[in-house]
Amino acid sequence: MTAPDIAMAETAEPVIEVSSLVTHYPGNKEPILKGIDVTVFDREIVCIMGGSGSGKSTLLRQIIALDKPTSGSIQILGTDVNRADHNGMHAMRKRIGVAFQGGAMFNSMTVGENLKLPLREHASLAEEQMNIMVRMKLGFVSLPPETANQLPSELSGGMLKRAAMARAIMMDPTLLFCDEPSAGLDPAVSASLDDLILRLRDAMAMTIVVVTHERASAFKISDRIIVLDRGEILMAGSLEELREHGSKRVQDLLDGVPEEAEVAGWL
Amino acid sequence: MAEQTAPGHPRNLTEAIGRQAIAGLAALARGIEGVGTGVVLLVQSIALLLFGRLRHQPVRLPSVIAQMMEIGIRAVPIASVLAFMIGITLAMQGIDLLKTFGAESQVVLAAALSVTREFAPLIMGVLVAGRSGSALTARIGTMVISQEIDALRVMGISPVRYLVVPALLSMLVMLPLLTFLADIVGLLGAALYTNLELGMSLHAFADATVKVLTVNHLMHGISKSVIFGGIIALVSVVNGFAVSGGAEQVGRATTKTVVQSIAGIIITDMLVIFILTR
Repeated sequence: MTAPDIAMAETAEPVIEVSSLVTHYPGNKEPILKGIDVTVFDREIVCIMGGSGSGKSTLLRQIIALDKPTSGSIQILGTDVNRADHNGMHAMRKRIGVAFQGGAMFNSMTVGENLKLPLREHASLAEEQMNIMVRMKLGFVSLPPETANQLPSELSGGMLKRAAMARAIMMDPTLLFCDEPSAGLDPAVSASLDDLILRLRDAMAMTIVVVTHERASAFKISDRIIVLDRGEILMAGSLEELREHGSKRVQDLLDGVPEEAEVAGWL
Repeated sequence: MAEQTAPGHPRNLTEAIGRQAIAGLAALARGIEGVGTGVVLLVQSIALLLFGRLRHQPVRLPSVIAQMMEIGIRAVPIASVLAFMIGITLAMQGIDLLKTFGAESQVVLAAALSVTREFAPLIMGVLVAGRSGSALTARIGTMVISQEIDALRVMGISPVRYLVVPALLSMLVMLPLLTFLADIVGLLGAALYTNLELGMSLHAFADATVKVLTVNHLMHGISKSVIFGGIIALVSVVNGFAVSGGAEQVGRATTKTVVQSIAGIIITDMLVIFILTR
């Protein structure tokens, strides 16, 4: 555990505990994740950074229990996701929200129907109550109420990410995961999404894990940053620790500078 | 220095045969894997239908009805047109062939039995495979690519319950209903042509049809259509969930669905007839 981990541990409960996580792609001997240990505490915003192929998206998929690891354990809100029974997983799923990179909104439904889907599945609410909830969440992510009647294909990139965020928080989750929330957006829209993430943590008391490769965004919203490289944690710590970290590889990864060997490969 | 050859070109006949054998085995393995996945999805679907509510995965009636509308009701116009044409075609062929023996009036027997036992289920199966099976594969494949399936799973919604069960149920119910419709419309087409060609009244054709047709004949075709519905649904969802990569893969998967479904229907048809006629 790093110094900020220890400081956090004194004041907050861990909500995610990943230990010795090893993952292989089927048929591949070389692991994608090589013994990852991550602890995320209540009401923290943690960014997972790293270059392409570093394993950050794989780590996210393991944590949200979309894929099973080769070995290691993952505890989410006290549930061991690899050992929990159906009821345990169902209870855990209701307490987490995920905003996917491309939005993953159901294109055959309006935005309003997309937002109502988790409510229809997990809550017994009348249609009017669900409409109120939809308007509330759209307002929270700064989208006008009329958005509810639009199809996802009619939204701009930034609006789509906001709508996805609104769907992810419909059940008021304890834990929110965002996969590349600012990817493909212009700086102004990207900055407004960063503000939204900070507002979600402060107003809704959420713990938020963000996978990103945008340095500016990560430095703006993070309490802690985890830098992954080739399936290993290169560095984990606070922003100050990261800035002061002497490793050239860490700084290169944060700046998006490719490795010399990688450049040689291109040439 | 070793002889350099392009990776795609075998150096001799032995290598070419070896490569073809490996490719054939790989295709066979993929086929077996596909059948295995289909069986697993079928078992999961039955389990979710029976016990879904206990596992927080109740099958929602509105999604089943929506699928039934898409697979069954919206296919009624094209199904009717095809069945009508098939009925006329069978009457034309029947009259032409039976003329040789001076037995044109026996066209009723030929049309009634061939429509109900063979052509209605077969043509409706092919129609539904091309129309709804391919659409189902494209829908699921697109959802896989755009992470909508992942979104369902993280929301605690089983993709099998949400996508497979409604499609499977709808195919099992609507394909037999379409087949029954095709029976009626096909016979109507045959009756109209016979009326024009031989002057046999529609009433006389209907009377003769009722005399030759038994419930067994009707059930022969309808029970086959239930099996065809299951085959189309499972082939469609297996190919849909197997999509990876991009939009091009969705196109390939839909083509695969149509080809495999039609092949499955024809092979099953042959096997069922073989078993039932022993």
